[in-house]
Amino acid sequence: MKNNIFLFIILLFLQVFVLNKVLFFSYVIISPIVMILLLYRYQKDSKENLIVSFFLGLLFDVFNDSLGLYSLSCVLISYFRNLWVLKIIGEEKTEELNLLSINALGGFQFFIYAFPIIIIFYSVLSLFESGVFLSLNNILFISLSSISNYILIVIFQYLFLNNNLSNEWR
Amino acid sequence: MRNLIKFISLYNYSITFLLLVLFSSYFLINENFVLKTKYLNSSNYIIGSVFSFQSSLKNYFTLKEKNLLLQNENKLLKEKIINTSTNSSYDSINSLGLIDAEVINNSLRKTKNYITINKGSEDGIKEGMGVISNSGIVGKVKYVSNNFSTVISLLNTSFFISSLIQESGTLSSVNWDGSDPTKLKLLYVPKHLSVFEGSEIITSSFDAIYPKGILIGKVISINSDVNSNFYDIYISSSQNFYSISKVYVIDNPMNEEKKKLEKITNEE
Repeated sequence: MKNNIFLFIILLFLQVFVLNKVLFFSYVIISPIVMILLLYRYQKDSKENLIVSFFLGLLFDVFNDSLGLYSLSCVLISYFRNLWVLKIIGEEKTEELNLLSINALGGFQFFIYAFPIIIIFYSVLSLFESGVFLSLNNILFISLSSISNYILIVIFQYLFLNNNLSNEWR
Repeated sequence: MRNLIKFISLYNYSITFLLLVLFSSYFLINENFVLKTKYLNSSNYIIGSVFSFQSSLKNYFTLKEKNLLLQNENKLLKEKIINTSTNSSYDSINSLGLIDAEVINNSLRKTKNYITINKGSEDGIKEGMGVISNSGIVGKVKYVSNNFSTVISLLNTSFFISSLIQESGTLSSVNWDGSDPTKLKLLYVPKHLSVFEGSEIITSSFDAIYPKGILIGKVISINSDVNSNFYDIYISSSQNFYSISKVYVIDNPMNEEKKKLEKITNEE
């Protein structure tokens, strides 16, 4: 539990003080908030998950002067995650899993689970930030940011989520 | 009633989702939402203090750069003092009060960027005041708390400034299109007028936020779209938003009076 809070604070500070101010290669934004939501414990139809996502988004919004943007994105992906996990992993298997990580699901299934959720997150962000959805700039932003964020999530799991920690992540 | 309770308990997950989406959408859409304007932004005490602490740490490591910046600023101020006696465009600035402030948070990568400064209502800052730096226009105060304020940056697609082309005195408007943070767009310049690359764009004072004559930028490209009556002009911003640290908030005592008068005129 202590490790989780420590990791969460590090990720929050990283997002607020470093990553919020950086646009890599003109198109890439790294958002650890997606990683927190992807790796947060899964419970079928959990209102708690939705509310946690909402307040997590709200916290980022307050630091970011973008009230509503991150909270809406987080609630939407949390709702979609619930449906998506049931569809691709199944209810029985999720009850056995502590954490929906690359270790637990395997590389391919983790990609199928995580990538669409990351794409939805960046699509909502770009839609509400720019007011336009289908433009070349937005498509480049969504695809490059999603790929970079996915790679970062995989690296993070290999670096920090070893077996001991992953058991505690819940 | 029993059916209603049954319905709610059956679909409580979806109902929670819809309620949260409605809350978030309301936050997102309503610009004048009280919580948003008073507490849920970076000018609130807690977030402002966190950014202030971060800024003080950063400032310690950039003291050398700051010294150079101050030296340059001193030099420019001296030049301005010398010019004041000969240049009438600075007369309007002299009658205004300037409140100096430090930038403690600055966003650049969004289409609607904001800056947080370390001065608030206790220092005399009010919503709607203009913010400038030594290099030019920075933005306009949006939200104010006791000790901090949030400023709409010039790099915000919903922010427009009334401007003039200095050579010809042509009235125009400046806005950022959301792409390159170093380039701004000059709007509503009719095609029958001649504009040249390198022309300086200054504030017009028509909005009563900024005094006349403050530099906004210089024309870098002029294109004529056949389907439009106006030029497509880009200017380079005189303010480098990547390295902004010291700003001045303009306290224009005539602003309130002008607004009141315009309101009465519009009502008639």
